[in-house]
Amino acid sequence: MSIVVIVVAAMLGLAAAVLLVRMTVGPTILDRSVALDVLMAVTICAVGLYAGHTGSTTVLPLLLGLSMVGFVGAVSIARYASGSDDVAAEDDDDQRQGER
Amino acid sequence: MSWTTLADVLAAACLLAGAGFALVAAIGVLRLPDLLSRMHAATKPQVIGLMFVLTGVALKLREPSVLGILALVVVLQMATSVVASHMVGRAAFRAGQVRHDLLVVDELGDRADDWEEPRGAP
Repeated sequence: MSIVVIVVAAMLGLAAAVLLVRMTVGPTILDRSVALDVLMAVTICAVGLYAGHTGSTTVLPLLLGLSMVGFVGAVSIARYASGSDDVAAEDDDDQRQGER
Repeated sequence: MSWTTLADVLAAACLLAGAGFALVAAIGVLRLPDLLSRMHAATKPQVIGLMFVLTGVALKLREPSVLGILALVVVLQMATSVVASHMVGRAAFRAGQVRHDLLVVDELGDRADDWEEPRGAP
């Protein structure tokens, strides 16, 4: 079981690192918020793995809180992301508007 | 093989499956070309990966109160992730960050001129 826990923790850590790469390169703020959402799910998985490994049930309310407030960031960002902050994407959009 | 050993093996399998979904989704979020396909990849660990991992945790802990909390976590995640995905997709479409050449069906494409304000919310 401990080998399984190490393997699962390594997979979750690699997933979090890859998601951090996507959060860093963007290119838009909505991509970053999607990556943040997935990172929140990976965090919930990791906390659950910790609870299963140690057998302690004290961290389970933390899971509840994370799953309750995890979507607030994405919703707020989507509400106030009015335009694009990616110049190249805006250029593509202008071209498509011209073609249409 | 006793009952607890079987539950431990099943828990290990569920944990591995859930972590595999999380890893595949993270690679998908990194590699896929535009926002909507990245959102398609992003829903995998949010729902099924989380369900697998929490099933594994429940099989490992084997307590009824833990089962209640974990079921509530899954229900909350399923209720909130769709809200976030809807808002992000809508904001992406209104801000013009969707690559229309990658879409098979574009039902909102003709109505793009009706929007007064490129905002993601009602």
